[in-house]
Amino acid sequence: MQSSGKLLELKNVSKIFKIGGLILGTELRAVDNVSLSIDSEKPVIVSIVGESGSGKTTLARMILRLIEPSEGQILLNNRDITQLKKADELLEYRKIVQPIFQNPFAAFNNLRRVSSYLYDTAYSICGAKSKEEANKMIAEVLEAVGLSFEKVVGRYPKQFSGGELQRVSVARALMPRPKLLIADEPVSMVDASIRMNIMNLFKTLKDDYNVSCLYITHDLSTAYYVSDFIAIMFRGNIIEYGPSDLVLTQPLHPYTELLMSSIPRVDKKWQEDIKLSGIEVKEYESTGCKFALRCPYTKDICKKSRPKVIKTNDGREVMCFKYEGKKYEEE
Amino acid sequence: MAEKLLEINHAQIYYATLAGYVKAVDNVNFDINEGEIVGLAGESGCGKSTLIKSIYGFIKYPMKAISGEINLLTNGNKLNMLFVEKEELRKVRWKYISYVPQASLHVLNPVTRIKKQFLESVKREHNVKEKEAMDEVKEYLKSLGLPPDVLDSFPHQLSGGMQQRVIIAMATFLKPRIVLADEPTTALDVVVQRGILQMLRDIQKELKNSLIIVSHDMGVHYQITHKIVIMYAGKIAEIGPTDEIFNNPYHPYTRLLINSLPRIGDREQRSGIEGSPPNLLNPPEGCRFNPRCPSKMKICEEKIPEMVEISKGHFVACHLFQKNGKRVKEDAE
Repeated sequence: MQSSGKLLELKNVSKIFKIGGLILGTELRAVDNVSLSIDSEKPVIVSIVGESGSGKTTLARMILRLIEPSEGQILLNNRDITQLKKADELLEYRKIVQPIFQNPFAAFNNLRRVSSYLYDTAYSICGAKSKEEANKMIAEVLEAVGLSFEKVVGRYPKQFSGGELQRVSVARALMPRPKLLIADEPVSMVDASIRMNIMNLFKTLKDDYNVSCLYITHDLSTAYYVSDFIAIMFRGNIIEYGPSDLVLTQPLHPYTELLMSSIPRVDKKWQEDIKLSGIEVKEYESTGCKFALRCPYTKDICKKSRPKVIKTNDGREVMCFKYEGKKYEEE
Repeated sequence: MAEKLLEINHAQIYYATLAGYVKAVDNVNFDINEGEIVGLAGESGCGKSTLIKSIYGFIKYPMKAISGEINLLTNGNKLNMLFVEKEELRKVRWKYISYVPQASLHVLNPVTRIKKQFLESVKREHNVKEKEAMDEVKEYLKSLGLPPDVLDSFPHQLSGGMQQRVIIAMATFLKPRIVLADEPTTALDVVVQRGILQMLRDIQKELKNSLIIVSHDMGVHYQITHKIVIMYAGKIAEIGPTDEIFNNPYHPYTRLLINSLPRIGDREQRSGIEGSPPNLLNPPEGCRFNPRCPSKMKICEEKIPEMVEISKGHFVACHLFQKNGKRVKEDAE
């Protein structure tokens, strides 16, 4: 793998949480040996999809420097982000990476005016010198997300609807002209009917403002709608990665197949029943494939050893013994 | 003809605020028959949850029943859940009507084992010995495919999906005639969601009772319901058999709601519905959807549309349709 020309690169990143006491406690690998990269040349939207507890939020928090990885490296423009210590380095980092959080009502303090967050960002990150300059910046980003300066400035969070407030938080994140947005479930608190407006906003940002986006979600259909690439996470691993068209229309990994068949579609009804399990903790601790206990294609080898990442000819990566050996070459 | 289990006539349920009444459910009518799975759909703030709480008789200030009836029909008796005595409620809850709240950590008591919580809800009704009740409960859980050891766990030891399945088991243990489920899968991921919906459907098939399911996800409705009630701003916009609603949506709101869903395999540009639901303190005059409606006419601002039956069991409240079911004009795109 080349390390140049990458905006963001994760190299074998893991995060281990300790559960329980010193002696009897166990380890839980919330993120397990994850590698992923985003090119710097062309803006892309990469989705990370997984169920709750798959480690997708932990991964986002590591990229945002909210927690440190236990193992591995996270490189932003070839610099390790955990090594950034000086104020100007951090400022530089924040100019490139900006977060958007799940619940806009929790992201803004109810007692502060929404615009005060915009001014804060304008002064401290974008280096606005005067109020006029800050106003100009704010008006510009608000326009980009389809809101007007007059409508936003001076109002409190409760005076906005969820969709509008989420747009304000996108506008705030956009102000330093970042290269990368980390959006953790940005639409799950927003009504289904206006979800698409926010998803379209991400597309526009990509096309018109050259902003790449890491879109973290459990919703496969919006992920398919916006993203160029998709990474399916399961119990801490990325088990399938590739162009979203391919991954979601011809899934390789049995877990992706299960996910796909579980979407409540509006054009095809479910035929057969699926089985749920209560064995989540066991799956984390398993030394073999973590999906082996539920997989319809399980063989002995699946329970014993962890499958390797296999690259396919059509540019995908999949972590499953089904594809080992014959058809594709190993990494 | 299946037996009617619930009839809702001109129900008006408002919230009292300092600025006046918020008209959360305003003049709603429909019936629910035995053996039906009915879906309540609409954006947040359109009155779905208020309606389902009222059906359960859970009306607490500032929520206020103004007028109308929500009649629970039990063995030939009528019980108006909007104006009911506490004593009466106690008799019908769990046994005739039960409630599955949103999947969340707030439902189960975090410091009590599941076993005790289960027994509390079961024993009170039955007057049976603990041991016998316990055996029965275990048997029931097994039949639902749940491991009986969940009974010895505390809620935090179970995953969200498992907790929700336990709650559903509790709610259906006494074989109620009506089960209300308010966003039963909202916080869960797709695989678990599918499992839970299957479970609800299977229980309904087994008990041959009615299930009312509230969800904002049209996909959920398509998958398991027989009939859909589309609500908008406290009123019913459209009611009809599920397949009919998806194949021939009549109300512009229903059409937009269905079209705003992204589909896999189809990257076509989609847009959400412009604007947001109205403030129900002062809802718009005439049809409440008119400020957002792409096919708005003059009459829409003046007159509240009446419910018209277009085909059997498929009703719509929209000025695009005349009393005899004829379309006035085509939808605007």
